[in-house]
Amino acid sequence: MITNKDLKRCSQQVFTYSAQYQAPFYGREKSMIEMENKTAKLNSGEILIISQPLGTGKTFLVNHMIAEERIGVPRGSSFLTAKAVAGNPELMKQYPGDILIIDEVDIKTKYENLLNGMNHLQEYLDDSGKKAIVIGDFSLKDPKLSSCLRDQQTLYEFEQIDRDFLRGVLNQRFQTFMKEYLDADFCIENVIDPELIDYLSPAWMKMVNSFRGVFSLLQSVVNNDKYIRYNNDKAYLEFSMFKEYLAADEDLDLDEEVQYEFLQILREYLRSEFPKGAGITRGFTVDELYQLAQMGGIDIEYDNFADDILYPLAIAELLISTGIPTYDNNQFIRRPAPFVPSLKLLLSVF
Amino acid sequence: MNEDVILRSLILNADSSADIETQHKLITGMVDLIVKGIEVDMEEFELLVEDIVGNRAVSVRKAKKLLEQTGAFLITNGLWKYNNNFMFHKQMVKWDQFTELFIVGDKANAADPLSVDKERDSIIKGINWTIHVSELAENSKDIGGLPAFFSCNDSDDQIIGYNVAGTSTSDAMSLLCQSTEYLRECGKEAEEIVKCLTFLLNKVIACQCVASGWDRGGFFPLEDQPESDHPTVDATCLAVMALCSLYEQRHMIEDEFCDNFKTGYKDVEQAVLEGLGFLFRMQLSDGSFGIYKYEDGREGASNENCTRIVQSTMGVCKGSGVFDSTERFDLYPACSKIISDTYNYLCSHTAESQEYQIWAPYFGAKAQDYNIEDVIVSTARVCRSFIPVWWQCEDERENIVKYCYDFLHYWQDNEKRVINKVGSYRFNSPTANGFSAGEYFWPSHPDILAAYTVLQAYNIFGLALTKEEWALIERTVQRTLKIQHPHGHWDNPLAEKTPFCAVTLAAIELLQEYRKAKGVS
Repeated sequence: MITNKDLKRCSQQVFTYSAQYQAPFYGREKSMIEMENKTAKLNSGEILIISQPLGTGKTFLVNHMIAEERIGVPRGSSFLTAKAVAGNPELMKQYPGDILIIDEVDIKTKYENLLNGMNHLQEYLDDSGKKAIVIGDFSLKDPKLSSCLRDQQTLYEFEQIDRDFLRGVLNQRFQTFMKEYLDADFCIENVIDPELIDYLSPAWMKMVNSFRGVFSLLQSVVNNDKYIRYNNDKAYLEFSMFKEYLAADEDLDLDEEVQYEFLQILREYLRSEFPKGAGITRGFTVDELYQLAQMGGIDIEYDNFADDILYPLAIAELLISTGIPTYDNNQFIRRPAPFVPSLKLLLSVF
Repeated sequence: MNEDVILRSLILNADSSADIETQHKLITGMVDLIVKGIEVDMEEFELLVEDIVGNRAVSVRKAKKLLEQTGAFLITNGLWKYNNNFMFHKQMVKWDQFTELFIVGDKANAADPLSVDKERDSIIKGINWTIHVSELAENSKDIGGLPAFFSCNDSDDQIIGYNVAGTSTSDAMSLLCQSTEYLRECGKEAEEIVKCLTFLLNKVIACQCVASGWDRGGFFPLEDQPESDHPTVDATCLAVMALCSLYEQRHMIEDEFCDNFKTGYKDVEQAVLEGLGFLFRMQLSDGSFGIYKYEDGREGASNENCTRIVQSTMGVCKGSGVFDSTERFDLYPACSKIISDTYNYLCSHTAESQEYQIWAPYFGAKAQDYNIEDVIVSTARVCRSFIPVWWQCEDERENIVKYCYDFLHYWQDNEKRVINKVGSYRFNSPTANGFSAGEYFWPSHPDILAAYTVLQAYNIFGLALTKEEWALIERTVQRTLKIQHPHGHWDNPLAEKTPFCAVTLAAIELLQEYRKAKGVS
């Protein structure tokens, strides 16, 4: 039996979303097959693009493929980044083997570095005849950026987080890090309410749901003594704990009163129009959200609404951008509309 | 109250405590960027805001306002710069003075201003941390040693998980036994030190395979390699060397701390002898060592890390006194033969790299096929294992010195390329059905390992160092001091606030060797 104490002590391992604890790899068989085939067939100068949201396991996948020797990249190779290549293109010459790996081509990097990085990469591939795997978020779908890279292949298979996938990952993590404490017939439903697993992996959110989002939420609740006491009670994570935790906004620290006001309006709207997330099929545009704000009595200019309310809520991970980041009017729009509610927001309005 | 604290708090002039905290983070972030030479344009500032706000929904506009409100920074030609006319209470605050107030880490790690021996203080802090986490593990009663991972909170460090890490436990014991001259000064009661050593010793021995058969005597890595169903060469070497270290220091421990620390050392002697027996069986057909060799003859890939660590272990065992106490004089030539075999293998499997003879991971043929930081880690570890060869084969001393010089110059040439890089030693684990598909790895700071190797060569082999070479060592030592956490540990190089025994041991070894080189130890 896993107790609350056991779970608290192992939560950072079980719910890790970084490479720190060397969690085992799970699933993504189709992705691996496609990646292996496409990488093997890359010709000189060609690039395989992996463009998926942040925190969904792209780097983990590539590392796993290298460890399994399924792609021709020397074991132990660390990845270059767009920023590093932009600052020092010579680094690419030191990269071992024939296939470079460029990671972090995403919104966490300055646009100038993304652009220069990709241009330098293309120049180097032209000169050297080498190939590359480029890993990033939807920034790579922006034509201004992707047009820097000439001969591209795209990794299309990338299993999204659905119930079965999440369940399998969680099961494996518990088996890996807590096997001494598991009963012979352990299954993940012994520790996590099946309803919670469902809510953490809603179908409509598959395209943007991330392991980082799910696991950081699990860690936050487990680490909070109010919901999981440090005692020998049987550990069981229920949906109601998460709802309460998120509704109490304990982890939230909004900056302005008007942000709280809008958040309340948005919550009410979601509660009435999309109970438990049912019916969400697409993201909301800025216009729609602005109209919602005005109907709720918030008096604010359109431009200020986007800058002071929407984007900060997106940074605070209450809203998730599903658009393609793009450079426009001398500004890199990192989190463009449409927006969908994040798990944090949605679970707080159930 | 410290004047700096007052000055800092007055510069942070926002209205709410949340805004003050944001101002502090913004300023610290700006100082960090500017010190690194990064131009902070509006986009860089936007990234900084995203980085620091966490769950707080702060707009870039608000952050800009908060920062400007302090008066310390302003925007000139689209770039954020420090306000060189920043006045505070009618006094100009220069950039150097301002950075002193807000640079994270240096302040926290500032040693007692009356103490001039930062290295000594740092070593003692590290020792105290090791004793503290050992006590945590002992008191938790449900973990049989030290874990692989710890978490570091503001107030304290905690254990993560319930599985013992064999190498973590061995590293902690080695750290304490190699630091006995500092144990006296660490401020702990003798009883506490003895209790800690006893705990670690018992837990190291508990990781040994006692079942009769092929694996007998080997030490399990446990949580370090969860897929491993067999003991491994590296875990065994670390454990055997830790046991020998304690064995060598037993009289000192008894004299200084406790007369009857142990009633006898038969268990330690037996563990060392059995461990050696396991290692002899693990030798590969070509004379080198990999992570494991199955009874049916399947061999793990020969690698430089296992080969060099076995070489070191043989030397440590020969010098420990265990063979004399147990009258196992036959083990002297047996260990000497292994040393000859491994040394010959190492010498004939260097990597091609311009004019230097160095070692690449897994005895790769060309250094250019590997990350430089990994080559530095590999070569540093190999060169530090030459001590037993130095004593056993005097004819090889000239070659050993040449290897060490080659390494030093290779590191010197590539110093800038490895700063802040993380070295990795990767390996597969021996499972019940063969070697694992998954890889594990030891992360490390290449420069810390490199500096230790060079200093050891200076102290033992008489390597002469030029002014520039000393400067390289000094820079590394200063960086090592800088990255020590206030709690006394060093972190996993891949993640902040994750204490790591192996890295803590490596850092303390470096600082001890440095003090020896300086003649203050």
